Amino acid sequence: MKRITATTAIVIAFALNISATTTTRAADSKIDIKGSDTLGAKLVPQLKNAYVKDNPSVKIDILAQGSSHAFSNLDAGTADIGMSSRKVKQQELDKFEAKGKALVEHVAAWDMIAVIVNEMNPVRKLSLKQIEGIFTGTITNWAEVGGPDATISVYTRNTSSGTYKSFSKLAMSKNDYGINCQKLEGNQPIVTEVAKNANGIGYVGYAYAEGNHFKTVKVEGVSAKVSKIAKYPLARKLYYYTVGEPSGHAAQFLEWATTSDSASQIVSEIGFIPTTVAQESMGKLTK
Amino acid sequence: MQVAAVPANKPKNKSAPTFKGKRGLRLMGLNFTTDGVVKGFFGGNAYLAILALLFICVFLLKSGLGFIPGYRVELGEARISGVELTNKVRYELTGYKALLARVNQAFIAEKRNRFGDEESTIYLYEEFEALVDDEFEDAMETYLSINDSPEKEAACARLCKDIADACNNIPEKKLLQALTRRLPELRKVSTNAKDQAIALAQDYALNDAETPHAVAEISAQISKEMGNFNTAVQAIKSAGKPLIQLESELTKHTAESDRILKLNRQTSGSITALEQGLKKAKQRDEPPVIIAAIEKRLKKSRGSFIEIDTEARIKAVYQAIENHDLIVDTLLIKISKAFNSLPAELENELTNVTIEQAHKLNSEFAIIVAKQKENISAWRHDKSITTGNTLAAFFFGSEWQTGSPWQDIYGLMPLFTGSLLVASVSLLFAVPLAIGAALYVNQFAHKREAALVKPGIEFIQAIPSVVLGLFGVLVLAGFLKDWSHSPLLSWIPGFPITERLNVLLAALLLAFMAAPTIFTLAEDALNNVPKAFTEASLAMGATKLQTAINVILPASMPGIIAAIMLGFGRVVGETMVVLMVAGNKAKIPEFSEGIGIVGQPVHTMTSIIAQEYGEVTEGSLHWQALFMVGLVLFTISLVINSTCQRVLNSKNR
Repeated sequence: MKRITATTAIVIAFALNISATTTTRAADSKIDIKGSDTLGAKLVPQLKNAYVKDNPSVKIDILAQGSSHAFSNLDAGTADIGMSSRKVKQQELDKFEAKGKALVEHVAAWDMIAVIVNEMNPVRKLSLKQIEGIFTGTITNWAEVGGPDATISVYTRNTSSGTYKSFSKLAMSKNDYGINCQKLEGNQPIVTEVAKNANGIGYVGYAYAEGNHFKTVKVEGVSAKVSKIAKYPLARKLYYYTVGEPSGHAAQFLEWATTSDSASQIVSEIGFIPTTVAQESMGKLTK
Repeated sequence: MQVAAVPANKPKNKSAPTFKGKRGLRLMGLNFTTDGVVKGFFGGNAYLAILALLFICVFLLKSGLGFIPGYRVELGEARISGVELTNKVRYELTGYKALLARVNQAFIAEKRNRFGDEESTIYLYEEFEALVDDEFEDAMETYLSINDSPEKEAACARLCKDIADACNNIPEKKLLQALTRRLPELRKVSTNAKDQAIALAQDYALNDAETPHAVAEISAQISKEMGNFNTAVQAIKSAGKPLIQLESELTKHTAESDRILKLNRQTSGSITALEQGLKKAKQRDEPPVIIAAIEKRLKKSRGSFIEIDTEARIKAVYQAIENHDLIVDTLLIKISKAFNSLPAELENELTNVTIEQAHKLNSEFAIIVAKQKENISAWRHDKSITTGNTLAAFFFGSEWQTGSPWQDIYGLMPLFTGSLLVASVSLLFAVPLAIGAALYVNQFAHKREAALVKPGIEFIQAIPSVVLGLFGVLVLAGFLKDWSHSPLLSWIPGFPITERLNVLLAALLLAFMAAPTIFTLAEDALNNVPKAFTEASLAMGATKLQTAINVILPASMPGIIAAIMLGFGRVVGETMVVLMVAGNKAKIPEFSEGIGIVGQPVHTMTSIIAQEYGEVTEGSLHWQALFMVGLVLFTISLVINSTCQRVLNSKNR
């Protein structure tokens, strides 16, 4: 009997605890950030560490499971901020609109998808059309794009990666990847293979674009450099999303993460391009 | 001493001591003595394994079998909308593009051979452009920001001089290296080409990093001077235009129908869900507000059906395809005409070889066209897709294309052949190694030696597969590729290997993993050969080697076969190593290459599951397809295991 009462007590305590957290979520100083692992793997946790150091009263929880989780969690009210490596889809937006909620977009940082080849490869630039040809499998020999007479080894991310889809959209006019692609597990394996295969080509996030034994190629005559981001065809934005204009701690954190100098420094250190820098570059272009 | 081959077949006639204790607590017909509880615990554990197995079977079947009807619906939509027909034309187009690419390669090879100097200007310019990008970015910006004209002139002269100096400072050897990769015949960098390239690079820097038109002009000029060859290539290029146009027209018509059909299917799915929800809500007596909300959503869903007249839409498709035969026939004629106008025998070996390959591709293309012509004329959008068709499309489909913006295709063949190929090649290495080792340890080794070797081999099993995979990617892959390029080993068929990640690498690592399994089981089987056999053989005057090979090995054959099969099962099911080192190219390996096939990258059934489960939505067709692959793997293991049992039992009978 005693045991039963103890168990019941625990169960009730849990239940109360859960209901307590759900009802008071907006009021307390805890920020839940959920979504993309591109953002959530390194960048946001480091931003959190820096932010919490200055604001010890704030508690930030991060869960990075993929961009689609950002929207499902925002919709369910289990996240204050959603992270996404892509723009919201119409289907996802519909869900919010049907409930009369507005989804607000904040640019977290910029990323560039760099096309990399082996350092031995004399090819230094490719047009988007050539890249499309290589990755869709119609161009199979380096000679066709001004390189040596050798068969191209194409390395790509696999279907579950967001970069896989972004690249297909930005560089391949949404065409299917060719049958000759070797699908690797992440940025690092692609870098390893391209660095070791004289005939390899692959694409990686900007954070991985610097290294030994491989080089980035110019795309449409533009190199993947921070200063050229405005013109670089394979640049993409990474986003934070909130339901309605953010308020309270979440607003303060977002404000700090997207505009402050110390946050920008962290963003560049991780290998993304801070929004402020990207905007500066854009400004130059329009001028 | 005689030992039965399998412990499970020990005679059971002796009465084993059973759990029999004094009467204990009886509850609900069960006897709760200490012995009874212990016995129940052990028995429970044994049955738990069976239960888990059953549970997994049911789970796999439940999740996977929904795939067949689901895929059937998708294939049906692809047929009604005409997507299937478009794929046939696309297939032809792929053949044509491969042919065009090869002709183009021949053209480039010839161009480089004949106009090496002019080509080297372009390549040198590219080197210099990169140099300007790297070193003069700031200088360029400063120059561009100057408005004052005399000052600007001075700056221009300065910048030009700096660039020329920097370009001339690049060591000759380095430039030559960059050039000879493309122009292997070249021995010296021509000064003329270099000066021209420097001028172009200066032009580039002064004009806000815009590649000068002159570069494209050089290239165009060379093509023009190629004469006949150029006209032939251009002819083949322009001959393909009607086919490309036909494909894009078909794509336009069919993609829209397919999209609407898919949307309507989604809508009908949500309608069913809402109807069920409404029924349940009514049963639960939910407040009217909630019921009204559900009804509203239901009404909205019902209203969002898009009217589609597939019959009318498909008419346009039939109309477009009417010209197909004419288009491809003209294309074939034009191509063969262009081929005939090509110079018969050229100086350059590479050009000749490439043209030869293009000829081969051309005849392959003609075969594809003939076959597709038949397929296309026999194709009817209203022929329904049967379950048999769907099963065939899955089991014999030659393409696995997921996350596609056009059509997801689930064909098992590339993965199945990949798995089988990797496993068989690995057994080629593992079996002689493991059986040889087993025979040695069992028959010839000294006791102390065996005590060292046996645990050593068995310890290999303890290496985590991810560690082996890492070793493969970072160390062995490089070694293997380098070795394969060494002239000493070029006699081995299939060498040199061009891809770093390939079947051979995966097979070697897997052989390493399978060897201990085969070794242990084979050693057991050898051990189980009755001692009388050996004694009889030795007594007849046979040597120890003769005895081992002619008596013991045959006697233990069923056990050894079972060992090999279990090793095979181990290799087929291995995931981490193949995922890391097999290259993951979802294409049926080209068996026409003979032994060279081991140099190709492949995808396997295990790694496709590991690679793609991450982002699939639960219950979606892709999700079910992965379960189907799992089911196939499971069946393979089951068959292997049960065959092993049968092989072993047949010996005992």
